[in-house]
Amino acid sequence: MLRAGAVPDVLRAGAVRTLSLCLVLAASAAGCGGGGPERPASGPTPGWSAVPGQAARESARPRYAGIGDPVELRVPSIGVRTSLERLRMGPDGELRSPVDPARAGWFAGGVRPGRPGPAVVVGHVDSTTGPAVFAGLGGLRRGATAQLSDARGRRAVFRVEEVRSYAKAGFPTREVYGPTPDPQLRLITCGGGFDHATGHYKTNVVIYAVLDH
Amino acid sequence: MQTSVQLRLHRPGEGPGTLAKAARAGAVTVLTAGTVGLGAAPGSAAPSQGYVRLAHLSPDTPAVDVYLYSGKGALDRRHQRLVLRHVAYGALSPYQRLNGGTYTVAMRPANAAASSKPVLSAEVRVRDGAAYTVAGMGPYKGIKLQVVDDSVDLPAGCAAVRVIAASLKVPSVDVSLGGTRLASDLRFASVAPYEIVPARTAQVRVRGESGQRAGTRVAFGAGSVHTVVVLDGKPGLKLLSLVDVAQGSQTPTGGVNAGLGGMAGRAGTSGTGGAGETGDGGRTAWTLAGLTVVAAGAGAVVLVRSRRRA
Repeated sequence: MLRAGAVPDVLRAGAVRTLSLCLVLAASAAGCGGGGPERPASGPTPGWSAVPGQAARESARPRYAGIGDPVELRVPSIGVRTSLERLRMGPDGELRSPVDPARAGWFAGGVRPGRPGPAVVVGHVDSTTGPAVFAGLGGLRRGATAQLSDARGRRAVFRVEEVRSYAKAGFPTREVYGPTPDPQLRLITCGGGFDHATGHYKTNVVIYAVLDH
Repeated sequence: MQTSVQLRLHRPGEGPGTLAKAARAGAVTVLTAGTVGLGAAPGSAAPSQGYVRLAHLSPDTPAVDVYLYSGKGALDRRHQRLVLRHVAYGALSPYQRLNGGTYTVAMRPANAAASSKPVLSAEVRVRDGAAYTVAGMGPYKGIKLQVVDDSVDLPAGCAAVRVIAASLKVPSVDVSLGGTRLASDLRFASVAPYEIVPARTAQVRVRGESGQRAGTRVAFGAGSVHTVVVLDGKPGLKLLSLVDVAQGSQTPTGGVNAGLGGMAGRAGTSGTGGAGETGDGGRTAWTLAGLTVVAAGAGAVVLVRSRRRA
């Protein structure tokens, strides 16, 4: 079933000159009563004949402009408003986490928010002494919004689709960082049990979100 | 050195009279040495979703309304999920995110009643995490709906590109990227397999059998997958350059250490995984901030404080 989640993509296509779109959701159609069986047309279809010499019109590709490097993240439903560090990968290819537990960080080697592919933001669940910026991340619900802004105030708004928890030992690299056809966002923090030997949590909490607007 | 990865080509719902032949399957030639790493089979918003985009690539066919229905062959309002109205030659929709399962794509003449009989229909079985292009292709007289799999496994750091021939004026084209041949004598209404290419910006050049030329400059980001569609333009050829999937130029490996332990064991503070903290019988401990290190002659002592919770 096409979820309401498909609406933005469809609306986006409305910008495409050659397409004029109408989304019909199951929910709206389901309430329309019985309706008879469909009556197939018979005979030649009116208005349906070859049109020789057509030229393709202007490019019909969807354009995802995205925003610049994000400097702020807001997740209103869990009270998060944070400026963003720029995160890099460490020598072993691991994604480094923010220096300051009170701020989240955007992975600058990855995708800019609003461009196709998964933009990645990481925040600590706790500091050494108490809750950190993403302490409430695991409590996010489907449909919640997360907004990223760049230095010029341009915004990209994402809608939460899934909240998942993974043992770090089985972290699904492709699912989290792998390519996507549409602009997406991953919010990542820690959860689960704390491993005293390593000084790290054993689990990652990953929020999967898609571009909303 | 050349290695070879098999293009994962899927032919969903291929049944008599309903589907044209899916794109020609073939091995993808790896032009750059390397191990097969993170693939470009798309990730997804939810791991159980796939993607479908719809296209009109039949040069002498008038505009159509394209419908998407859930399930097989039940083309009624109850199963209708999406309508794209007045889709003309050369138009592609953005990818639609769909739950895995079987769908039916139907095309009707533009403005025809939704209850009228479609001129074309095809089934597409959407696998989780996969992407498909469903395109009306061929000449008006022989138009067919092709279901093309848009998934390809990529070596780490590489990109991929393929060509779709949809020009009636120039029914056979050669396509190259630098010195690399992407397609030779690619016939009208066919889809070349993805070719793995280095990640860089480069010119895709198209040459018709009578010398017609066209080109487009494409930024092949690492991990990105592209499709170039050869269309009839006014005049000559028109190239449509599409990004099928994209990811960041760098891909981290493994999880992220994003917690310092200050809340470990406190109820309701460590995310959804909090319930899993009973492995040590409810006894939790945390390492002191800054790891007080006492250098006393022979070594260091790390102070660890433990506490017992009810």
